[in-house]
Amino acid sequence: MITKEIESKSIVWLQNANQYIVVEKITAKITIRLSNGASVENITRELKKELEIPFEKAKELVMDIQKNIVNPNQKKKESSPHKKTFKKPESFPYVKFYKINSIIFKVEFTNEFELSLIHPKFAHLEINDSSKIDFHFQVFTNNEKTFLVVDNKLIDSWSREVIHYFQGKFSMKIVESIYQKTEDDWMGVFHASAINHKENSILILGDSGNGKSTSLALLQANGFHCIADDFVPVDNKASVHSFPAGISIKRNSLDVLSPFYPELKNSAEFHYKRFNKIVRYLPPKDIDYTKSFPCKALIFIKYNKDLEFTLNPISNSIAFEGLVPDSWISSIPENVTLFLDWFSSLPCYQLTYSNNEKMISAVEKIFEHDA
Amino acid sequence: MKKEKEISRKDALQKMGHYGKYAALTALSTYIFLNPKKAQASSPPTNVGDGF
Repeated sequence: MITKEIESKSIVWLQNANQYIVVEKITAKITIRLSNGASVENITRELKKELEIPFEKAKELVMDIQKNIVNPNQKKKESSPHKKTFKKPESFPYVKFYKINSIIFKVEFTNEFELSLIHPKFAHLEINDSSKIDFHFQVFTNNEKTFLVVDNKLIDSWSREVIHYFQGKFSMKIVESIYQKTEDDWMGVFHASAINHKENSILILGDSGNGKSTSLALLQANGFHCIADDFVPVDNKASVHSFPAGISIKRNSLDVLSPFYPELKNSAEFHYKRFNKIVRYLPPKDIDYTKSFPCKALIFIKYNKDLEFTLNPISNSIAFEGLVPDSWISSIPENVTLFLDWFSSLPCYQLTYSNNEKMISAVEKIFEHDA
Repeated sequence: MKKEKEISRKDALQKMGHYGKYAALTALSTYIFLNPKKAQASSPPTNVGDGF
């Protein structure tokens, strides 16, 4: 277990369950003591004295913590290893080459569905045939599952229901390849947009449809640099890295963004029927993959044409509840400690806007603000 | 009359103390469980229409 106090609460990471809980500080202390072998009786006696409550009430509380927090975490969840039998195709009808910095990726697909999951967001990186290949990705379907092989090593396979995990793993393998880091070298990947200004970055979070990507595109058009859209990798030095995918722009945002990006009007449109999404992709400008940035703040954003502009600091424990379920966080204890230390020092804001200029000005102020 | 008021105030303070302790105990046994994603993922395939 790892624990961190944040404001008036404590966050406890349960290692075997890879789960975080937000609790009162006393509850966290009891949890740690129970998991270290302290007896229920001893803890109860001390709690009774501290809170001046009846013994039975104190014991009830301690037993509840034992039952609901400590006991479920005793045993590591064993993932049932299942043998993946598959047959790799002899040929791949669809072949793409992508250049990211000076690194060349060859990616092969067997059908248009697989191609549609990956190519649109990387289309701006496509190059013609290349004899020099640094990494070789292969995507194919067997028994209704989509397989990913990288440099002849099977990564995993996914059913249609969880195909967004295939896309995520594909992106992660791209990131690992560009930066020459294994999965263990990363603190987490956040479902966010990220921008850079001078030497810092800000992560923009929020539910799908709240305006993360559109806000990112607006900020990029107004002097800020895009680091990543939808997939933000942060390494185990808490450094925010660039991700080369295009910025996904929904149809409703075209009118707002076309004045800044007239090329959007003629850009290819992708209709993801399964997800009921129609998107175009805007290439990020001037990404420098040699640079990564410390994070200045988290902004939970929401665009709504009917709402007044508001910018408010929010408590980190509330922000934590919004951040974690949508994030992959490394389950290596050292990385968890880093994540909690990193997060606890980050200012968090809720920003609601209908006026773009006010949003841009607010983000600028947050960048300029000294912690 | 004054004595009745004092007793009432004392009773009121005791009741507030009980409610305060009850609220504190409730808070101590309130746990918010958060599960991060098991692996990296792209945007979830929820139906959000055209959104913004």
